Amino acid sequence: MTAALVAAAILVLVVLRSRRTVASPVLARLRVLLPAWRFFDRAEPAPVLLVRIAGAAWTPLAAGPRGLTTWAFAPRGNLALAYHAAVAQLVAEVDELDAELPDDAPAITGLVAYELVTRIAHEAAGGQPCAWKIVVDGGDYLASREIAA
Amino acid sequence: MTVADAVTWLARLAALATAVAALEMIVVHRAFGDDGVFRWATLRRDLAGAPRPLRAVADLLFGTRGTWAIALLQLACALALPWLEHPAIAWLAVGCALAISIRFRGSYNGGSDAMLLVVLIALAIARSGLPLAGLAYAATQLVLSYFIAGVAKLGEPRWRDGTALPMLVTLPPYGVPARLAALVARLPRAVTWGMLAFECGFPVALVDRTACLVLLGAGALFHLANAIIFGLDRFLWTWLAAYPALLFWVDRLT
Repeated sequence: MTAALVAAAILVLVVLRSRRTVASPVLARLRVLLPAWRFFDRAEPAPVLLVRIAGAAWTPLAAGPRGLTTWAFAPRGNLALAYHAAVAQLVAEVDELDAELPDDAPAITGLVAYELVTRIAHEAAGGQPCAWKIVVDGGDYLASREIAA
Repeated sequence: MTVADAVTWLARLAALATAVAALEMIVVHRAFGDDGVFRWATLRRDLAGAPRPLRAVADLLFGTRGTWAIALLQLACALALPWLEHPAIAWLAVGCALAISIRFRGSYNGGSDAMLLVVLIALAIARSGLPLAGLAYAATQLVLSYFIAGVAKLGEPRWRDGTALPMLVTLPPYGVPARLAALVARLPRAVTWGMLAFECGFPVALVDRTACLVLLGAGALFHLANAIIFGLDRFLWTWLAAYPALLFWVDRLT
């Protein structure tokens, strides 16, 4: 019993320490083997991707559809969550870079996550010319240039 | 619950979770196609610094055809798991689940991918002649998943003051319907603290069978609520799949 309590206390201390990101993209792909189990621990506003088709207003990236069966089977809902996860990943990767970099710096536009977000925006715009921006906590965080059709 | 019963139920529920994951991937196949958002031509850039043989294998596995093959193989494994007890089927299912996560930069559906892998590895170990070890692995990860999630939330002021849940239901990624979000926002703070108590207190399930049954019942309702409110369907199926392992170990320990 004492050993279990000591183990639990050590676990609590480890959990309460701040998390670290895995730098290597190859190793990051294996993170599923070491689950963190820290669901919703950061209760803070999520980054929002807004897409603008030429001449129209900024529109937030839609969430997945809801229906009577989506509690049990939600392929499009989970794809939408994967899109939002890609946006959050881009924000996390840009946060690791020099804060003074302009939005179109190659260090940013060359990121895989940047290309993913561009493709997500392009899909959301139905393949039409568009631009995207990411808003964090109500403020503009990162914006793209116009994307051709 | 006997070892055989626990492994049988683990297999049935892991098969269900695997089938849901495979079918969902197949339905959204355009996303991993040559012109899809998650096309391999984009994702493979992560491996630019990897050894050439590794990149060649990844190109073979994770291109459009390879991903289709993995998803179909995963579905076939799901259909076979309840009926064929050969460990190769379970290890193949582990390989498919791991491959899907690796392809999508580490995870396609967050924690549900990790728990799917946990239950499939547990089943593969159990069917490889080590049933107690397999069930112990699933039970341990199940208890840790709730306990760590609860403790991590305790470190966040918004969880402690009860404002986290109403805020989470307004986040755009989840698309919670307005009426449902309003309903959650009206829940008393005690609901948040009840959830935190459930998660942090989950290890009690290891020492008392009645407490275990109550906590697993609460857990099932918790995941069902998350599936309805946040659309997290896969978390329901993958976490339920680990429950027989805990039930078995509680019977054995108490």
